Amino acid sequence: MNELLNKDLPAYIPWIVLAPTLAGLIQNFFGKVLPRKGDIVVIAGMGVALVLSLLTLFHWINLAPGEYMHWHTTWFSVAGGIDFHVGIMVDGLTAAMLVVVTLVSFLVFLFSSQYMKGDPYYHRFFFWLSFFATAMLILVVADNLLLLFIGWELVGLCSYKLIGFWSQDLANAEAAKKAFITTRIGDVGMLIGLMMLYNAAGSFAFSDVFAAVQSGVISGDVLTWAGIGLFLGAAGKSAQFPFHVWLPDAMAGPTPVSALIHAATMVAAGVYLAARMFPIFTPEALQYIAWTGGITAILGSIIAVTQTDIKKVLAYSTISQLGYMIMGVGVGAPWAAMFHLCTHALFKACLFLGSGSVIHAMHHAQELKDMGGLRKKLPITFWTFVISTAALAGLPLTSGFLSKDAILAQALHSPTPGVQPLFWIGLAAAFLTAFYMTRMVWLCFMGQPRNQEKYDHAHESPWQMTVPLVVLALFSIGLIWGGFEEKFFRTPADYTFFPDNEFVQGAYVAPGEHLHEHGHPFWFYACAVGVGVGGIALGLMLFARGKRDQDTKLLPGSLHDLAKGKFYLDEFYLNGFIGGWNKVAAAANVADSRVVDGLVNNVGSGGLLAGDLCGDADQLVVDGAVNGVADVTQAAGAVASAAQTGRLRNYLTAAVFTTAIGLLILILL
Amino acid sequence: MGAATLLFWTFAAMAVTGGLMAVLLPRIVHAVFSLMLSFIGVAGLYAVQGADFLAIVQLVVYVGGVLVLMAFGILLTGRTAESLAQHEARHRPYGVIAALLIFAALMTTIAKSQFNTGTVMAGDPTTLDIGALLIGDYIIAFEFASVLLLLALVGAAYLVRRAER
Amino acid sequence: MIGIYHYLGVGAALFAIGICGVITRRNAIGVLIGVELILNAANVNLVGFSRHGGGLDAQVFSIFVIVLAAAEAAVALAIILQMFDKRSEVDVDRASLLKG
Repeated sequence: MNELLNKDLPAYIPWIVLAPTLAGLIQNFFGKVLPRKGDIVVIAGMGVALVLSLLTLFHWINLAPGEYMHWHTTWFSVAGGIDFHVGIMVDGLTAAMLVVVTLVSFLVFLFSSQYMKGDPYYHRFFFWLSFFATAMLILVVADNLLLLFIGWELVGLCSYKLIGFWSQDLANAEAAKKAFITTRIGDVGMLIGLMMLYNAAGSFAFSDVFAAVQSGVISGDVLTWAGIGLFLGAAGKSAQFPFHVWLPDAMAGPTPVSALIHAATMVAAGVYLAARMFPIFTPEALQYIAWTGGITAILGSIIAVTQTDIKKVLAYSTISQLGYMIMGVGVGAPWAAMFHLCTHALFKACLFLGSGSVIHAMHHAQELKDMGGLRKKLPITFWTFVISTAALAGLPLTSGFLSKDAILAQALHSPTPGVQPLFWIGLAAAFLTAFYMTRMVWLCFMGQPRNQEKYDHAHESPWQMTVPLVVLALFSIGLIWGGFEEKFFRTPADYTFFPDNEFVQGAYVAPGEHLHEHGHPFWFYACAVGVGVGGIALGLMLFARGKRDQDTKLLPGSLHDLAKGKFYLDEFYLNGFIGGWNKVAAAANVADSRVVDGLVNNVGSGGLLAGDLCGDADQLVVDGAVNGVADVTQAAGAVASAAQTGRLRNYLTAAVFTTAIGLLILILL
Repeated sequence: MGAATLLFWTFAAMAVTGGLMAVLLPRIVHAVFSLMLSFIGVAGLYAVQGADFLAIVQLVVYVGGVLVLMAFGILLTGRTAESLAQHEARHRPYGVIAALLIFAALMTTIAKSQFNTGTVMAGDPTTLDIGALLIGDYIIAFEFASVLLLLALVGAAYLVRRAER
Repeated sequence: MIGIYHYLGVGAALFAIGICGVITRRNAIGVLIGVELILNAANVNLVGFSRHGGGLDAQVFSIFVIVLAAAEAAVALAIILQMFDKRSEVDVDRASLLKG
């Protein structure tokens, strides 16, 4: 590992986390008596964090290459002299994330103060919003995996509360549950990966883990699996295939929450983790990561073409862009992925807040069929939306162009084996992105109003909502990023935690430098610009004549239906896993009520049931792969589910038996 | 057999018999009074070991506090409580098997482990030292315990309040 | 001579009896009785260790256990009373909304 220079942390850095925490607590306890339910306190707290983050960024820039700021202390010790540390570490990755998180959070808070005005639970909303951002900040500044995991789970909890914020509506509560449980499945993998790494390194600290990887304490297949385990956690949070199903449903939350989730917090956490842990990924793990990202990117953009709800289009667009970032990590360019994360965070936040502004103006109508012609009514929203769209489509001179190209360039020259097709997949996704965004902008803002009544009542939003839009749109302009790009996102040398091992240095630096020195080939630029312009041109061609609207099928028939149905993954999960489980549970319940409710009998009936299911398997297999998976799940679930009597005593009996027998085996053998 | 040994066996028998009765007697009122016997036995065991302060705390808190609470609980929920007893006999085998298993497991573990059998603490009064420890080394835990008690108090009061409206 | 093993034996017995109580009782107060026995078993062990080299710290821990037990009994009884108020019964088996 190159000599890492550990600088003391400036005293103000902890306040980046502490200020929003304190503000959140004050608002929580005294918000009801404060004027405006204390939203000022929360916004001010985040403002302080934003200013301090900027200070941190400039402080970091002035450090010599390879230096980072670190402070840590013993958190607690357990028997055997094992210390657990807690600390703050700020390197380039962290500094960039801090600014993005605090900037977007601050603007979203400001926006929310108008958007949520008059909500009966305004006070609670602001508390959770602030807690959400704080948890994300904890995650970002953590210097070890344990603290990161704590922030990680807090983010999950807050997202659950916020997505289901309007929980009077059952669908919203279901969406919150779905987001929580889906990400939790990924977290199981993450926890396993975490334990494997801890087992090898004897510490959770990033520096120790990387050192262990570099010195070969953990390597080969074990390291691959640990990496994939960690990545599963990232895939859950960042909505990667096959965990992406929660993200569109998460639109059920208030729009500012969607903006926060899609830009600065939640989904960014996964990409951040993948980039942060990049040194531990083996080529095999990277291959898996790259393909996951590529598949997600193309899948998300295909589905987005067919959606008719303004927020759903943006949701699938986010999935697609996250796929891009994950693909960036996979092809060996975490710096490019982080660059794209930062640019995307800002323009996607702008798009989401813009859609919030539209929805606000339209009195909570979200369907494209009610829109059209809104540019005259919402000029500021329109222009900021168009600028951000250009960035998302990757037009030249926008921030999105820079970051998207960084990823594509790396994909072309990736040292990860077997990922070259991803360059073309990435191009295809970029083309579709430009196309569906044009479609949406046109259907929303241009043409003739399709719902005259709603159109007449529409009005531009107040300054608290438009100012964030303008600020965010400014960041979509490529020039603003010029200096930072060089410093943060171009070469791995600035990432202090990339160990000096052969793989990273030999394979990963070279293509980046190659591109940097020799520039891209001409056809690369042609492709990169061409897909963006081409997508927009096609969109304009199809829609500008006003003959097509949101219901026009743009894809070949069966593909359209498939995409419109989101490739039926939801149904697959619902019928395959949850439905199967429920069926078994119902059957077990019947079986259970007939027999004495003792545990022994429960297990017995579970076994019988499993036998029956195997008998029926013949019949079920005919129904195809979906049912096939269901069967396996059913059979496996049968025994476990039969024990779910809901009676605590039965659970306890099982626990006691297991403990006693386990203890006896352990002692006597 | 010295006086201490005699006392130990007496109190141990009280604790275990009381416990058994508390768990096996069908009527819940009888169970609560058997529990009192068990608690007094445990307090005796503390006293035999020179833990004088704990013995008193045991009597005051458990016999004087928790048991009275339980007695109130039975008074207030008495109507249906008795009828449950008949159903309990049916699960008893599982309970007894589980208990025997866990007892066997614990005893094997104990038998196989090495404990310090040498040094025995002198039987000096402990109250002063415990007090010093509580407001010295354990002051934070002590404060947390007091907060916990307050929370339990508030929580219990909140839970039993009649629904407004 | 009475040694540490005797106390651990009594503790184990009380623990097992408590487990038996928690498992067999359907009356919520009966379950509570079992839990109290389990906590007492832990305390007997702690005091036993205190005498045999553990020092007074072990007794301080028993005090905390007693505090917890008292708090737990208060809250548990409040829950039982509330359950009785809502459903006119104290049968823990009837509180099975968690069932699959």
